[in-house]
Amino acid sequence: MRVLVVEDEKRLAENIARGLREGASYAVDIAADGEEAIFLAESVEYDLLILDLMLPKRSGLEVVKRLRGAGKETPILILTAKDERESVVSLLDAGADDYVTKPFDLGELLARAKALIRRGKGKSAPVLSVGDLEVNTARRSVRRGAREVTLTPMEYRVLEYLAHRQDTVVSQTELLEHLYDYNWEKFSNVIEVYISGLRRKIDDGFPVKLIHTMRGHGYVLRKEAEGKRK
Amino acid sequence: MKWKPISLAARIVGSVIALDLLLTAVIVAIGVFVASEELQSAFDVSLRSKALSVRALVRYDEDNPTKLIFDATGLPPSNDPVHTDVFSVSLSNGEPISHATGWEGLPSGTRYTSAGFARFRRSGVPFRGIVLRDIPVLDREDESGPPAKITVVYAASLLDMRDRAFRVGVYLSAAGLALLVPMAWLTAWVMRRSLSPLNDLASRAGGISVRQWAFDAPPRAKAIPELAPLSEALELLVARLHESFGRQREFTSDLAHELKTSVAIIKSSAQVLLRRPRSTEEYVTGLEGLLGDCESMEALVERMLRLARIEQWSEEGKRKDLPLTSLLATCDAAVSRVAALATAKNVDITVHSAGNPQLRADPEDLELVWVNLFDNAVRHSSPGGTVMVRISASVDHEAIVCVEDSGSGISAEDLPHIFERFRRGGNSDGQLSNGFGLGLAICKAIVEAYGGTIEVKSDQGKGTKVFVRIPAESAAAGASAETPVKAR
Repeated sequence: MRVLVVEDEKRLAENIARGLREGASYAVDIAADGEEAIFLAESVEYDLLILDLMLPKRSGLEVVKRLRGAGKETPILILTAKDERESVVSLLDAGADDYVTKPFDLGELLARAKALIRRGKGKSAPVLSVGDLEVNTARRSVRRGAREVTLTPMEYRVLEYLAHRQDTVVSQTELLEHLYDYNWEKFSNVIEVYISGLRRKIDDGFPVKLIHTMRGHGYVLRKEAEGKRK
Repeated sequence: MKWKPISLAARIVGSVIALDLLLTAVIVAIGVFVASEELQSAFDVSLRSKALSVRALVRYDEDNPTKLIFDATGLPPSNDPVHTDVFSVSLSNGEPISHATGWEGLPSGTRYTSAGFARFRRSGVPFRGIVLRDIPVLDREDESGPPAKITVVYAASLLDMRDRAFRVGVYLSAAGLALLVPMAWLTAWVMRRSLSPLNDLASRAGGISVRQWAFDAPPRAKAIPELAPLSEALELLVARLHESFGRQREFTSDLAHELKTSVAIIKSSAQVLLRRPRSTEEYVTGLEGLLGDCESMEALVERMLRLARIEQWSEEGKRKDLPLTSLLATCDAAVSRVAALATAKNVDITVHSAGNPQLRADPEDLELVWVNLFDNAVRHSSPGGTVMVRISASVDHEAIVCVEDSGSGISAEDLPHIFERFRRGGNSDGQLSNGFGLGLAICKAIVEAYGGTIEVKSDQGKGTKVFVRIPAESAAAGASAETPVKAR
């Protein structure tokens, strides 16, 4: 999952980004003002926007209006120090999905971020199931049948994304865009490495395979083998 | 003893009553005078005719043609039945012919007037009489020899006439006094009516509160020329108060925002650190960051308190007992405080001073102004640039400090707002330009508290000039000095 944190207080932005990276294995980009936020959000498919209300150049409200006006469906979580009802109401009316007031609890922020991402993908339950595979996004644990599966953080990111988009073919490009922030070099063959690692840990030893490669299109996580397995 | 203040209405009604009394007195005096004159001339006419009729009563005896007799039966009636008219008739040589009973002729204290009139008192009553001298007897039986000449004196009491004049005075006074009551009442009524828009205005003004700022002077009050300035002044005052109150509220809200953000930083720093076990190095780095966050918050609180304090004492008036401070010294101190930043950004700061103005000020306040201005200038300069600080003193005891940078400049739309609190110049690297957006607001507050002005001129892309003018105690021109701070 890739998150954009828009916050002009550098330290706060870094803390949130670190919390998201360490606590949820998300890829995080930081924007320091409203214009940068609009630019990034329009050029990258983020899974979540965490947006401060008072920003230089463009206010948080303007950013929300602009993105929603452009048809962006990315969930938006507002950070606000104002507790005036009006501003919260106008933000939610403009298309924001949730808000936390400063000073917030980082754990709560992460939980709300995860919930928004789940709902953004059309899932409400924190546990995503594909056949007998269970991905618990709250605890970041994976289980296949009765077996606990231990994944590396990057493998988990790939699996969580595929689980959110189960039964849909996900291209390498889409995976790259959602799993890495701007600080990473992107090589598509990295994805193949993670996929093969995931196959080994999840599918090996099970008669029903869940991870499928659609040659030339990407990957899909689903119960029934509909396509040819590589 | 303290006088109870007298109401406006009472004063005006009182004045109207006093004027009415004065007017009545004048009218009575004139009326009585005119009436007396008229009555007296009528009185004199009647005196003369009565005297002439008395003269006609003197005639020659038919039996003895040389003898004069007086026929008392035809005497004219008296106007005053109590103090009856008196008369005397005598021959020109003084031989008496007749006189009123009990009257011996004009008494010794008689005053004579030119037209043959005389005034005297008879048993205390004023009398006015006419003296007709040497008039011939009318009734002459034979034509032998000239008729005898007689002198007739006729006098009547003045009391009746005076009574009449007095009555005129009484009537006039009564009329004046009778007018007094309706006039006072009318005045009071008009006063009350005229003052009712003022009462409206007062009750409308009384409705103003922190929650209810709307104030429109009642149209009735505005329409009255005397009340219009007051209504307008009140409206302006309320509008200004509202504005200043709004600014204060905005400040409080901004303050809350800044403090909450500061707390959010500290809290999130600690929570990030605590989310999972970390190495000693990570903890040390994290705690150092946390300490830095605490220091930022401390600085924020300190700046805010300073701003509040400066604004308070600029409202309360100038502080006394301030030391004589060298402006150059505070500038130098400020330069050394931003030297580290200047070095890091590879920016030169050059102080050029013509004269060393001295002023009564807290050196810390001045230093804070320069630190803020230099810090801003350095931050907005491009690497390798120079910040020029020029200190000069004008002839009229004014110190001028110009801080010039060759940086990005300020856009025309931002320029009017740069002194607002928590205003942040959005700069390209996304970093805060100056801490909490309070720097320039503090500079302005301090400079204005010392009776000075601060002005910013900027060309986008070319750089910014900040001019600070502060009244100085002495502006002794000294040798110009340059203090370049090499930061390379």
